[in-house]
Amino acid sequence: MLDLLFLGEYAILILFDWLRGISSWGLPGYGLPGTPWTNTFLLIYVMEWLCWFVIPVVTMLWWRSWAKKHPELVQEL
Amino acid sequence: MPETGILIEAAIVVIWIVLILGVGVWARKRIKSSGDFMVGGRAIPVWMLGMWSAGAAVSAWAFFGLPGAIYAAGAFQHWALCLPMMAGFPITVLFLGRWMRIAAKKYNLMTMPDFLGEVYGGKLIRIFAAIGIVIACVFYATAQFKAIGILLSTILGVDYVTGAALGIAISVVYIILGGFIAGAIINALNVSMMIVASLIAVGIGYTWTGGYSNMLATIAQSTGGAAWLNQDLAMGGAAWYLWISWALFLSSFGLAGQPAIVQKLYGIKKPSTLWLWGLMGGIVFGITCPAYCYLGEVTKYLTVTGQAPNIIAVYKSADYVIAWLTVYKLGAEAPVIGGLLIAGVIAAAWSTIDGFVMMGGAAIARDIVNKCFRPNWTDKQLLRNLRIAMLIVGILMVIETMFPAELITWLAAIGWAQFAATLAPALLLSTTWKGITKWGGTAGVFVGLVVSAGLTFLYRIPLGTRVFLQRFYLDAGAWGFVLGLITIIVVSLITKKERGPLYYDIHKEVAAPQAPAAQTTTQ
Repeated sequence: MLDLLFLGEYAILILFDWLRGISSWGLPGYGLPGTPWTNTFLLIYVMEWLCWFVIPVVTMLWWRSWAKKHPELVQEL
Repeated sequence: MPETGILIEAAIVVIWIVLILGVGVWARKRIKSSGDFMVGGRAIPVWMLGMWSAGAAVSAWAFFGLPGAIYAAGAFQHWALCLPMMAGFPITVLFLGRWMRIAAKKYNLMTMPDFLGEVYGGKLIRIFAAIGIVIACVFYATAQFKAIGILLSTILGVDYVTGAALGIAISVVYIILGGFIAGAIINALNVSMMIVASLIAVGIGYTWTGGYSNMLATIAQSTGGAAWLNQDLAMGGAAWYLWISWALFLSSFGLAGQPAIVQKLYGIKKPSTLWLWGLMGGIVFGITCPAYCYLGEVTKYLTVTGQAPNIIAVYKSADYVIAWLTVYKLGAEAPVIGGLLIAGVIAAAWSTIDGFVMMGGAAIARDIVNKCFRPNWTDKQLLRNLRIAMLIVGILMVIETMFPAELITWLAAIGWAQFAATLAPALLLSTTWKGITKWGGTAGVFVGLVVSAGLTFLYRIPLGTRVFLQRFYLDAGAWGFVLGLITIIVVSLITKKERGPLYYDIHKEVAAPQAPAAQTTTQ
């Protein structure tokens, strides 16, 4: 279940599927006929995780704490 | 019921238009100077600007064009084009935002060419950047008025040109009246509408399709469905090149070069709150854009299960996917939600058009005429001329609606990639590399502008996207981005170390040259 964190915006839809008893990852490679797994979908999972959680949330919270530690660097010139 | 539903949808859209124009009229009284007009007196709450920037990034292209493209060509476009834009907001804060904001008052920065001119020095870089902005503003707006034209003409029962002209005119009127202040308030409303509409749309789509997995499995089982779901097959083996071009260069780092999005940073009240702009921009974009991409997938499901017509065959264009879904499907089944969704798409188009009108007008009146040829204008003259220039840009956009749709689509290809290629390399290097010089920056902006425009022409006319990508490996804009970046580095290494005054504030370790007057005094 925690693996859902590795998905982004459509994770909630997959979660709803699971709650309804349909256990699938949705995307090709997880049981969909005629759609073979390709490594590009692994990239999708990694990218969604980076774009949804790591890059906006982690970096901006880091920037916030950095700005608090160096208030002189965020003053008007 | 469908006719009653469409009337309900039309009523919601008309109420929304009246509300937006009312805010424009109200904000007019609060404009006292060009600074109020262009950057809201640098006193706008960061959350409002985060919403505005996210709305400008989403634009009608993502709400309208992208679902159509996904319906026509495959789901991969969502992950290649839409998702990386989420990263563009924090990337902009990390590399550029702090300097843009904390230097804004000292150097009276209002536009992107302002920033480039103060860092690199010289007039030419301002002029090249301003020309790139005017071209991209006028032509990228195409996607917006196509969306507005199609939706308003469908829902109000007028022809496409009238619908498009009406939609643009509303945006031009409120932004000329109320400037940045009106834009910030209206877009906070617009984006709130977009978020609500997006969340409802996803819920409805889920119930229509019987679940996410069922939707994709059903599409996969249809003729051509496997290719539609597999990016390699969907792009005929060229998907990786498109992916690298957009995910790595244009959607993510390229966002730093989008004036309609990034120029909002000048208006933030407190520089220390920039992080919230980056976070809000990314998350709001991440909620809204994928939701409309999902609607493209839902419509595909409805088509393959016989619940929707083949949109491309019936309307001769995939651009009608969202129009069909909102006006005919939701108009019959849930008109209030359909009306909200339509208002959401129009709001997204306005978020971008008002930004383009401001950028285009400022590029003409301030960056070219005022900064390079008429530096003695009073603030009152500047404010008046900004409004006149914005009116000219607005009229140009309205005239563009008269061109045939095919030509407009072709011209729109210059859009986002053109902005990214022209401005992003010079902006990103200005804060991260101390070796930049005036001529390096000027040459880089010029190369980005020319390469992106030239290759766009080549791939749109004789080759087509897939053949172009297989032959040249990267998208036209990505080539402009990469070559612009290389040009700045190479030319900077071999030219005289001349820079603008802001450069020495950013790179404090580099000693500023003494002013000639000071040298004369010491001698």
